[in-house]
Amino acid sequence: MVRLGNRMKALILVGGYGTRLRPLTLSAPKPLVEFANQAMVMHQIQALAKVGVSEVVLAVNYQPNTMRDFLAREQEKLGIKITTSQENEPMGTAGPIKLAEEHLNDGEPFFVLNSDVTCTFPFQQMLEFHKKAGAEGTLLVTKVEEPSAFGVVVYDADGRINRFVEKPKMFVGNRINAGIYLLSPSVFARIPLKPTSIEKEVFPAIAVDGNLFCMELDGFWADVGKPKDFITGTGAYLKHLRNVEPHRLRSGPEFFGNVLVDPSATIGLGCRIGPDVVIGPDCVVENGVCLKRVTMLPRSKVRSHSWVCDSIVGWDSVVGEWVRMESTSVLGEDVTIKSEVYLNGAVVLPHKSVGEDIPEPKIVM
Amino acid sequence: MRAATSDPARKMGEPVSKKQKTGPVKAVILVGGASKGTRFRPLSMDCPKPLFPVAGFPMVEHHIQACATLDNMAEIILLGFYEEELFTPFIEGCTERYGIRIRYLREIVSLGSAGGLNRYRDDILAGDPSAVVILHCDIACSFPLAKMLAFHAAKSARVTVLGKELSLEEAHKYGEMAVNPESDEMIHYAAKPQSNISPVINCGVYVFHPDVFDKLQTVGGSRSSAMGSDQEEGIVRLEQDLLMPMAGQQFIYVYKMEEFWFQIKVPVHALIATKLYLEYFAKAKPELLSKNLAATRGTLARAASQSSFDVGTSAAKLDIQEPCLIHPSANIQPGARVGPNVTIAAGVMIGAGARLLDCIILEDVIIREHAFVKNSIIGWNSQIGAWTRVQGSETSPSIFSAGVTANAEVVVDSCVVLANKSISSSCRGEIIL
Repeated sequence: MVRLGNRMKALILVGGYGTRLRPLTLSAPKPLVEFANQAMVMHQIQALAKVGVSEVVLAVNYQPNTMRDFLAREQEKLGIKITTSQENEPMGTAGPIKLAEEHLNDGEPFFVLNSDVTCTFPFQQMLEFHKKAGAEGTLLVTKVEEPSAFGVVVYDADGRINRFVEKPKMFVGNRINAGIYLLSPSVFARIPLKPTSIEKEVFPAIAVDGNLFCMELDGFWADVGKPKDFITGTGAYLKHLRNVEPHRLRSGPEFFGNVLVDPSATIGLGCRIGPDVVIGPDCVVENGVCLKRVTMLPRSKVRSHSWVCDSIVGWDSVVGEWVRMESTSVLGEDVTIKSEVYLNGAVVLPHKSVGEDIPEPKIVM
Repeated sequence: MRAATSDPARKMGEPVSKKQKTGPVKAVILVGGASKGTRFRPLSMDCPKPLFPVAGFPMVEHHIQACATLDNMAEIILLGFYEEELFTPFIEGCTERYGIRIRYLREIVSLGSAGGLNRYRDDILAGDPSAVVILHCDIACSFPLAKMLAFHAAKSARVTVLGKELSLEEAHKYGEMAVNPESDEMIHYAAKPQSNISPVINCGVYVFHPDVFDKLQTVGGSRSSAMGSDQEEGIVRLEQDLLMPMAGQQFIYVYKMEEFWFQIKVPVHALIATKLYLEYFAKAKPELLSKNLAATRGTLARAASQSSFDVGTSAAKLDIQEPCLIHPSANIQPGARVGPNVTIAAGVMIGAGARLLDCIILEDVIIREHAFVKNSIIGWNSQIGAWTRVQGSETSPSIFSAGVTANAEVVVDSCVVLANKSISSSCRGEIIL
């Protein structure tokens, strides 16, 4: 068995402003938005640290102080080096790899991760596969129900990739690029120092040379870059948690399905919580509340008798009594929903107060 | 059709001792018939419109109560073309509660708003009343009948019409009356005019001198001969055949009322009328609200101690935001918040933590825990599940006929639901047949 050396490195493609996850990313940089009670980027960094990766580089094109401070703290906690590589102009998906070459190139293969993706992170198996295949690049692929919305990877029985078909109109396969790669240092030479797409330019070139392989992911995978996917991805993640760390999920007569509750949160009586609910630190759920497929971000509150489904409640937000919230309603930071209001697909920007029903999907500026 | 309920436990006022000051007075309430209530569907499909509960009492009981409190009321006649049996239990109940003679006279065919008065002239004038109060059934108001009768006597009027001043814009929807400001005489009448005639509208309540019945017979007779049609024979309309031709002949006078007046045509009007009545009760008849609340609280205390149901909110108290009218037999669990403008009928069960406002809850409805009901009418025996939300706007409420089930956790927004439907997914702005 190939052991991961502690010299291994990884690059996480964080990118820009996380506009797809607004209004949450109006208050926090996307990597710091809590997914299942942990900053999104920490799911990846922890998984990397677990297999012995010693240095993680975050490719960013803006870096608020909150992120810098956060990463400094986490670096200390995990005993892993976390640096950032900032691009001054958009470099595409491959450019940041070239830009970070001085951090990453130590003669060994390195991991590249898209920051929006969460999965079981099978880094150890990827490395074994990569070595065995003698690959220049190994992609993780995952099965999807509707491949027509993605880039489909077409490959041989041994995993050798033939071609990529972007958003196919006819069925060519159901495995898509999962956004997690293991690349050998020779890839640096294939990337010019200018805006370059790894999916459209670099990978097809390696495939032509017959050196690009893929490994099928066994387990859940979710792109959590948009609120709707964030909510469904939370369900997939909690299901995974049920298999690997069931003790972390709450059980009891008021809990249904997979529910993750921070120990500092308080939950009232007569509630019906779950499935697929995450309740963050210092959150308050009062009596008689029903929550399904909901993430409550830290310090948020849902008052008595309310019913919240398929929604995200932002930091420090308060949902009043007898409120009904559903259909991918997303509350930004410090939002107040007054008692008895009905929200159907309402997206509310930070620091707003909503006192009237929103019966059809709408953005509240 | 649902039989009219009769509730001996409650009445709207004490029976009044009969002091004969002037001659006896009689009252005729025009209740219409089944073919006339279509605009009130679906509620009129389960209950004759005059018996539909408004502010906790059948629509027409407000009229009966107002008539019964008059000093010298000899008899109240309900005149309409509904089948008599539909009104029998209701009339028996009212007769007992208000201690007054009440009976139903049935028109075989609709003879217009005054045709029945003509046909039953002998029954109405039996006992030689000094005045006859005529009331349309589809209105809600404070019924200032005693003041109207005094005005009628003082003016030596043949007909006194109850009037109310609205904005000119609003007045167009009704019969408008031009009134001589000095004499209070009605000098012109126009039904729903296009142009501005007068802001004073006809409220649909009249006091007739017995002579007026002679006049009705004349117009009825002349019309039938002039039209020469069997179908039209006997049809007399109060407005077109009496008020219009007799205006400006020192025959008709207008008593202008100050308090609320409202006409109940479509279901949403029942909610508005309920709100107006409850606000009026809060000022004019507070005992009506508080008496019932006290009774409810008594029931509650018993229910709470006996109930095994507990959502852990045992410290929570029944929370009522007045005005509300709640039947003593309703069982409201702690933690529920009710009001304002809610009426809850007999046998209703309201679960813990439910929220009700601006709604009419009819007999034997069950509303489960944490449900939310606003701007809605919930028909007899309907059931609303836990965390279910039934709501509407002030102009477009949700209306449930009898026996509707809204499953747990769905939202029903501005929907009209016909009887015995089960709703298992959320819906908005629909009529569900």
